[in-house]
Amino acid sequence: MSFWALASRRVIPGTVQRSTNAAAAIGGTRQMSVAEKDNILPTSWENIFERSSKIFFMTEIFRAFWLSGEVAMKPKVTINYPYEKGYLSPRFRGEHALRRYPSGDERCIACKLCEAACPAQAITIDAEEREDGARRTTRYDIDMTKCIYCGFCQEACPVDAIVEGPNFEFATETHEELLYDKEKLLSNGDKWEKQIAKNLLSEHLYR
Amino acid sequence: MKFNYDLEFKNNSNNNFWKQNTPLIEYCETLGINVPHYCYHKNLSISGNCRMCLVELKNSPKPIVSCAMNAKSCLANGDIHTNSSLVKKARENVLEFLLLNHPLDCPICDQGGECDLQDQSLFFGLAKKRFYSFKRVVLDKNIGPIVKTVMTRCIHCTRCVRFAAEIAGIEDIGMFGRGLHSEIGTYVEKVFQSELSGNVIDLCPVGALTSKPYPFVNRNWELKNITSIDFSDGFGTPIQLFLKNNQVIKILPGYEKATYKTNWISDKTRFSFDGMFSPERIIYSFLDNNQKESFLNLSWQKLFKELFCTLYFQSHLLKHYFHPCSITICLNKNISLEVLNLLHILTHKHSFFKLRQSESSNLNIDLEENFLLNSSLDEAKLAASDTCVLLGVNPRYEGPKLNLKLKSRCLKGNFKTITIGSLFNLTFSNITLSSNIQILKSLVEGNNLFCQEFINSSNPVLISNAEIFRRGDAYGISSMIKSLIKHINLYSQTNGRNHLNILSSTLNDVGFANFDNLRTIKNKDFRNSAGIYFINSSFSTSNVKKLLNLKLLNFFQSYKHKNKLLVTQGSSLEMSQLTNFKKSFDVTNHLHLPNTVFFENSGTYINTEGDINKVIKVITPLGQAKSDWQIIRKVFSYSKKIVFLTNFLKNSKIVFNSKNIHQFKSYVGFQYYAVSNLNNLTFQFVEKVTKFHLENLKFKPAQKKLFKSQLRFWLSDFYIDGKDINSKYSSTMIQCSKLSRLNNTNFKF
Repeated sequence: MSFWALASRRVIPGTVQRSTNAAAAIGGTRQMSVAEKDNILPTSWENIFERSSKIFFMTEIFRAFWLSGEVAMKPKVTINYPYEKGYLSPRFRGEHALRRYPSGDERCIACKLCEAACPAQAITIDAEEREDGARRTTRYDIDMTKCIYCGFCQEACPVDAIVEGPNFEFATETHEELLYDKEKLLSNGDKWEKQIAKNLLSEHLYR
Repeated sequence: MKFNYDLEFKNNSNNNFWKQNTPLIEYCETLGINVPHYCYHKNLSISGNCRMCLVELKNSPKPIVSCAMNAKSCLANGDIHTNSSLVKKARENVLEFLLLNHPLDCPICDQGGECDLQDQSLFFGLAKKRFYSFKRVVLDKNIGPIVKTVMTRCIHCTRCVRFAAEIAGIEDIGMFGRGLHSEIGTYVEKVFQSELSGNVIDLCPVGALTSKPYPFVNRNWELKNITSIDFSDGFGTPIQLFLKNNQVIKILPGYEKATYKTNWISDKTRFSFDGMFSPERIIYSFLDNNQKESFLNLSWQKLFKELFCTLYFQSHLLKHYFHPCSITICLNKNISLEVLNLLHILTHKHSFFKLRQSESSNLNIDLEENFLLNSSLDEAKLAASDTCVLLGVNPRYEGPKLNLKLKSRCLKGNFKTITIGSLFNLTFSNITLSSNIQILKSLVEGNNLFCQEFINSSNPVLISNAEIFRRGDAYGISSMIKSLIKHINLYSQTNGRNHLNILSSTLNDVGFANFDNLRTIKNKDFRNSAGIYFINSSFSTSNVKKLLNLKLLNFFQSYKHKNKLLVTQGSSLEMSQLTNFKKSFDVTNHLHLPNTVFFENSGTYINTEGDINKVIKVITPLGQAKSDWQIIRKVFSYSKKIVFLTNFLKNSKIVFNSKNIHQFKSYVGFQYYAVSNLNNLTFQFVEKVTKFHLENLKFKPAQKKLFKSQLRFWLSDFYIDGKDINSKYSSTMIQCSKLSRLNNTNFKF
């Protein structure tokens, strides 16, 4: 079926109907037609002319061609995900990390405020005195499958030790791999320190 | 909300239930109004230096310090507002000054979460900071292995100073310097050498004094609170246990049943629990039958099979010698009444079990009041008396609770303490008559100068301990004491009252005495029995040690039969003792049955006052350990199965000798239901002696034997020498005892 046939088929029944209504209107008869009762206004001749000229000259087709041409010129919206990544807010709450001081000393002082703040009770901390008398954790576990990524832990932390970093790609094959211990969290911290520090700096005014 | 700071109250001085000198703050508390405070403490004197408890008195120009003001006089003057704007402003300002030098290190402070300063600065403090100058830093003091100090946090409430001076009686802690430079500390670098030093941890309202053995381990919101009793001495003081993950984290004093007040507890109670869970503890069973391999971690079923197979073999062997097979069960006095009862039934049912106690006791147990602490803990009774004789007892270490009572009585005045025994600092004034037991004789005969004061005194109290009656001349001593009591009764104003107080050394001494006087283990028992069954590793007691040493010196004749069976049931073993034991008594088979420690089993104990304390299991046992009751219950059922061994006795009555039936009913009922499915024994109370006629006693000093030896305190080292099994494994207690021994020598490093 040709394009023309499609177009004619679509238009013709409508024109027939409208023409009868229009005839009634031109005739000036004040009798209420069926169409008037159904509150359908009669189509004017201008309208009919415009529509048929649109169809005749295929303006919509050319506009669509133009639009696709325009879009083809614009930059791409989709990204090639594993190789390209989108923008993340500095407040993004992703994978947890335990940070260190520039001296290499871990920041966490085992105050257990994050443990208390955690609504999902995903954090478990055991603390002891280190040889030099400092208060440090012997165990810092986060069950990442329990965690709801609310960010309360990083809000509770008085020393910015536990933070939710920008990493969101930590899917694993087994459940056990998502039970993070202190070592894993610290290594996360080491890995992401630059980004985390930058994010924290950009947000420091609002905290 | 925890605190109720909002109530206002009007003058209602017609309520006269409070005493004349009650401070206003205490009166407020009776009305349910909490006035914030730091320096005020119910059991200490009033210093009024924290200024936190300011309240508004209507006609007074300035806010008043409610802890240092008399409630009655204040109420007579006008209305008191505890929550007015003036009071709020005053609190805010006081807090601002307190926080001037207080470091903001709450996250690393052990007091965080239970800190008065933290709470109150949240409620009343100013949100912002107005002082930007430097904070003062104070050097930390080393005051021993119990208390950790972070003196920068100190707000100078002086509670610890007052505690040291008034309660502990050791005036080591004080405040020196003035103004900004004032510090709390020991004047010279020294250890706060008090058996009650741990209490300053509870007293300190901030984190200046915290627990040293368990730093940074817990936050108070993580802990589960369970009440239990003190296991280290004869009092069974109520304590609060704080648990986390099936572990005991800390122990705090509990509420007294009678007064609903917290008491002070000794360091041993507070910190010796780590001995129970020490790495030395044996939590798996093992079998050692002199072969190369020993079997570790056998199942309980196998263990009992092994035990009874060996017994079967032994009994067949002994049949050839026409010798009955028997097992001697050797007990310590710290096992619960249920276990004791079950053992008693076991020996009643099966005659091849013999029950012995590891240490001798020649205490007269006919009457209950002969082995109880009758009058010296009762404040009213103690207030009525003005003389106290301590016979060979060191209450400071053997019963810190008793010492506190005596000290508080002494501080009230008109009280004289006479000690017979070694010189010792009891923390209150006392006169030492002699260290020789012979002085008793002169006291009874009336030759001593002190007898004069005896006559003038009213209601004298005689305190002794159960350990004295372990001496060889115990009968002599008890007869001396009897006649001494007779004299005291003659002169006391209230006749018929018992003035004798016996302080028991373990938790269940009184329960043991109530139950039955077991025979002491002797060499004969070792010789005649095919197996020896130690419960709670009692072969480290002095009596067994003595037997062992004599055996090693070939003092005894050789035994009739060899191939003995040794069963140890306990949570720990002293290996050197064990190897000696095995060598000298020809032990071929050694079975170890791991049992539970105090907090892992439930039981009933009778303390030295005669009160029954029931303890429930608070933590699940480690490893393979089972409670004594369970083990002996199994032994019972297995011995039923092996018929040839058993020779049933007809005796189906178990007799108690007790005067006080009411107290017995409760625990016997408990025990009865526990063991009712085992047999059809009946429990009977027999009032052996209803009346005790002093007139029948005739004092014959010539016939009674009294050794001319010095009296020695049985407890030479408070921290690790007690009768409880676990404190000698506790690392904290070992440190404490090292320090205290170092302090007692002249060599100071």
